[in-house]
Amino acid sequence: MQAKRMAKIVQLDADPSVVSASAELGEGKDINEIMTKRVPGELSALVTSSQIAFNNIFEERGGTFTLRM
Amino acid sequence: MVQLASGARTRLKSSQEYREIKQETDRFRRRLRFLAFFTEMLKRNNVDAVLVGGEAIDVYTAGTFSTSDIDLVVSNKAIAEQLLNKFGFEKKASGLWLSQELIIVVQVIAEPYSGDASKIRTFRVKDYELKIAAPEDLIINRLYSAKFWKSNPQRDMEQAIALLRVSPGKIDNKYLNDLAKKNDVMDYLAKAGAFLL
Repeated sequence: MQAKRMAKIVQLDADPSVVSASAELGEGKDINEIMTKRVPGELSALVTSSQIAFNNIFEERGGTFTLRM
Repeated sequence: MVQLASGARTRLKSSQEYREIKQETDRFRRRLRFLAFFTEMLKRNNVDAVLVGGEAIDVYTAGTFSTSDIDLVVSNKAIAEQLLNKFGFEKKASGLWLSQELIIVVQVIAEPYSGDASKIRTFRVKDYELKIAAPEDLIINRLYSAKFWKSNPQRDMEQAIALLRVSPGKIDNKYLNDLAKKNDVMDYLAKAGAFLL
């Protein structure tokens, strides 16, 4: 059931344009190989900017995240 | 089949809330505001909804890792689709619902919700609540996709790494590890966890 559900979710937002390129990334490939399309540090910068943006957009109160209007 | 009240389309689309959503120029906020309003309308019709998939990741990463459509798991698909129709969405052959006015695409998925309901996070948009799948479930979903489905492993790994780092509230590591074992992605979880150290 879990596998079926995951297959469905993945299929929903799969981008057909990247399937052929990424199909070369077989099992056993190291994560660093998978991430080689990024300039070093690029993902870290994106993640950091996500954290900053999230804190600017949402405010936490008692476990609930409220969109700042 | 339950029918929403006649005239609901006119009322929804002429409501102050809908007009404000339509005028929202920021794509991320427009989607979030619509989702919160839509799920509130579902709630008033006794339908539960949980945001899952790429849009859920989009919320947790504040739009940095954006997706194309909105996946909603609902307790009553028929009512949810009727309501989308009342909001002016059109059903496409793919089964996706498109609003050309809001530039939003929605996929309605019938329950069951595959994650642990007690881990679902609550977001608040104005007076409305929006339930979003737990980051732990989304992380495992992406790792599973990267390892076994391989349609876009770079995207999946990046999203998993981002969620590990930016998820609001504390990640439940026991729940995460249990899920990883159950789905045979402990190796990918370790790789993702180590990537940003």
